[in-house]
Amino acid sequence: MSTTESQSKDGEKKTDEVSIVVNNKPVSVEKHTTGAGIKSAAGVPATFELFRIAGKKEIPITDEEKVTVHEGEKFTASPSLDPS
Amino acid sequence: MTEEQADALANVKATFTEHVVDHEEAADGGLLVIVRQVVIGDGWNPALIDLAVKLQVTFPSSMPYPFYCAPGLARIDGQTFSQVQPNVDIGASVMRTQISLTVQGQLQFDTANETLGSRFVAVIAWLRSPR
Repeated sequence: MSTTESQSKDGEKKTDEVSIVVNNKPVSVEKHTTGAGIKSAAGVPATFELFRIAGKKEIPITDEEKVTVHEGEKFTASPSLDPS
Repeated sequence: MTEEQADALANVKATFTEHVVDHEEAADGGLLVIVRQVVIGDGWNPALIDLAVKLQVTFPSSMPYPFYCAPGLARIDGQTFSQVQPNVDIGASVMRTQISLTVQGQLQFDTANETLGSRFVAVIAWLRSPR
């Protein structure tokens, strides 16, 4: 069993999950995930762009990017912007 | 301010906890939301701006659009983008840089999937990597 997994009482294998915030809503995701995994868990469209909020920085995260998330971390997701 | 405007303002404050977020209520019922001291990168002069958007009284049926900062925003290499108009009269001879970014084909703000905070982040991201 990997370090990211634990065994529940009924023997069901359970992946470690943490609670993060996406667009100011709480979302439960696997600790080791991807940008696409975060968007999927948050229920936002797959075409949206994802950003991690880190202090005064907003860091873009691609769909394929492997991400280790921490409890309470903040993300935003938004559609791609075009010139009007 | 309307309940929807107040919720959007609270959302921006929750998104940008490390920034000062101000607001100004307009006589027409609009609400100007301002995120102070946003870093948009060394490619711009200035590299640090106060980024604002006016929410109409009809928000979210009307989009959070356009965004504004102080007049004269320009690329240091002289490159221009149609989305960034550095000197626009927004009324009463008040000049601002207008940043015209929106979602193609979207007629009203999609509050089911998006927040005003996330829209601010998207605009900042575009400014950091303009295209």
